[in-house]
Amino acid sequence: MAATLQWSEANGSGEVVTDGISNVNFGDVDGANIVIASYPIIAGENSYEKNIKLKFSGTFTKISNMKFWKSAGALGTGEAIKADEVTTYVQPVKTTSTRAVTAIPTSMSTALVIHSAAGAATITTPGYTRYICLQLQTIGSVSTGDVVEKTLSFQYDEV
Amino acid sequence: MLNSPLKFHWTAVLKDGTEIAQFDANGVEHLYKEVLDRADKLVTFYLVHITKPLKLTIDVTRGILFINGKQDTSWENVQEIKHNVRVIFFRRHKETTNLDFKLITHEIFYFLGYQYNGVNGVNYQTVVQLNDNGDMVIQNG
Repeated sequence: MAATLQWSEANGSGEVVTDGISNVNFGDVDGANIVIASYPIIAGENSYEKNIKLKFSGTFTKISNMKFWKSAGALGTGEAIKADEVTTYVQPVKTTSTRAVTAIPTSMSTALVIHSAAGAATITTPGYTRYICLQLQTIGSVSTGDVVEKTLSFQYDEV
Repeated sequence: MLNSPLKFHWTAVLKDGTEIAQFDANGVEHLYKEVLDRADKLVTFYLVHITKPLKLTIDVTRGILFINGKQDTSWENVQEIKHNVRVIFFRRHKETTNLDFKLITHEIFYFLGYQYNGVNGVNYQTVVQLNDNGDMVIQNG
């Protein structure tokens, strides 16, 4: 075995955390495990912010060198994804994010450096990373319909 | 979410002959921290592939890497006296997924090697990167 990794998301005013989420779809709702068809994003508007984090459990001594980036999936015209590590949780909004303001990195060399929930570079006991706040933003000229599928990567070293 | 089995398991051998295996005879998993806590007593540290005849051993007393019991002097520095030899070991995980988690992959790369101080005090490293199949990339620096 090794450390077990789960993706988690928090939503609502009370920071309701859902561990082991089944997707990180962007949509017109503050919620985890979104069914896209039920909450489409209107052209020219933004998705609700996504506050995701990684949960480590199981047997390990140290997790370090944590990185997050978009490894595939081209952005269409009028489409942008912003992503930043944030130190605290704030209920997601669909207005243009003031927390996710940086274009999501598209290579490992420029990836977001992710810290433990406490802000350390390493995790030595089971627990979470800090949140990664994401938002899909569009302008009116964006093509309607499904956008190109995106691929996210998370890398870490473990002993 | 990762629950895939590791392809390489480690074992540490101490000066008094004691062995710390990642998985002991009872199947109990031991933390690498137990090795770190006894780093000054470490003699050898090795990885064994769980299904292939592949064993990589670090001789911590001399600073030598053996692959299936053989040293490859074509790339490993054997000329210099190696001081303060320390094992390097970690697993690098890369999890990749599309947004709906239907195409999720989780790769593990194993890094094994050692670092030491040369006679000039400069720190050098020799590290082998392995994938699940045992394919190797060797880094000297």
